[in-house]
Parts: sequence; C-alpha cells; structure tokens
Amino acid sequence: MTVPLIILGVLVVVTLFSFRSISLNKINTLSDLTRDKQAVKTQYDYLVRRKADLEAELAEKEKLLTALVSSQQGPRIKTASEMRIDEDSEDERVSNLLLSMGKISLEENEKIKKKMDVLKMDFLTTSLALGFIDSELSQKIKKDQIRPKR
Amino acid sequence: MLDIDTFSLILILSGLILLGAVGFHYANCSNMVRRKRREFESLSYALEQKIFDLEQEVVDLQMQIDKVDEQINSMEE
Repeated sequence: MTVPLIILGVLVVVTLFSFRSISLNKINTLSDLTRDKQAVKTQYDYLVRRKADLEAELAEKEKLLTALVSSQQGPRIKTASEMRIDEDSEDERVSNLLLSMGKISLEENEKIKKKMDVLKMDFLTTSLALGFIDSELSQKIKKDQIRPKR
Repeated sequence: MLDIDTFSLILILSGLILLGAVGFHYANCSNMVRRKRREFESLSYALEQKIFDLEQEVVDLQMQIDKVDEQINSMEE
C-alpha cells in the first residue's frame, strides 16, 4: 500500500517539475525570439526614418540648388524635355498643332477642352463636332499629321 | 472498500496519466516554439532583404546629397 503511494507522490513531483521546466523553457525561447524580432524591426524602422530624412534633405538641397541656378542665370524658358512635351497626350499634340496652324484660337481651344469631358470624345472629334474644323482637315490630321511617337 | 491490488492499479494508472500529460504538454510547447521560430525566420529574412535595400537607398541618397552639396558650394563660391 505504501510503495504505490510513494511512487505516485514521486510521479506527481516529477510531473510538476517537468511542467514547470517545459513552460519556462518555452517562455525563455519565445522571449528570445521576440527580442531578436524587435531588434530587426528597430533597425528597419531606423533605416526607414533615415531614408525619409535623407529624402527630405535632398529635396531641400535640390530646391536650394535650383534657386541658386535661377538666380545666377536669370529667368529662362523651359526646354521641351522639362515641359515633358514628348509625354503629352495625342489630344495635347492635336491641340498644339491646330493652334500653331491657326485653325483654332486660344478661346476655342479652351472651349474644346471643356467640352471634351462632357462629350467624352477626343480633341479632334470634339473640335469637328463643334464646327471649328472641317472633316477634310480632321481626316488629314488623323492620317498624316498625328502619329504617336514610338 | 477497494482491495490493495485494485488501489495499486489505480495509483499506477494515475501515474501513467500524469506522464502522458507531461508528454502532451512538451509536444504542445515544442510545436508552438517551432512555429514561432519559423515565423520569426521568415519575417527576419524578409526584413533583412528590405534592410539591405534600404541601406543601398540610404547610401545612394547620401551620395546624391553630397553631389548636390558640392554643386551648391561651387555655385556659392
């Protein structure tokens, strides 16, 4: 009677001890992992902040440099590349072409641009619909003049 | 009242149940630790890649700033 009771008592003690050590081991490992993760995250956050700071600094210095350049050179006309003419849409190119040909006035140009949104048509069709150009010119521009640059 | 053999058997069975509970607890904890370690490793790998990229970008930005500084200095002289 006594021996099984002693064995059971020993087993209970061993069980409790094992439970405790297993749990402690788990907690220690998890806290180590959390600490390592935090360290990596801290480094990442630091680099993100540093990058943002450097970008702001660079923007500020570029602004300063631009101001210095313009103060030394005086006002100048922007180049085509600065104005991004090459990136203009086809509508923009048609608009510029018609203006340079004298087929439409600036007022008409503005009017066409406003109506484009309403009519949901391109510049050429809108100007044709509003009667600022004739169909012959429209066809000519479509066929010969306006080719998207590739 | 239980006889001695039955009582001993019950005690031994109780002991075995306790051992089983320890084994189960150990397996659970090991699984959790393994899962967390895997999560950490994947996160750590992704973050280290990003950190590497960020370090490159920071170096590039620093070089650009130095270049702009040089230009500003030469303009101001």
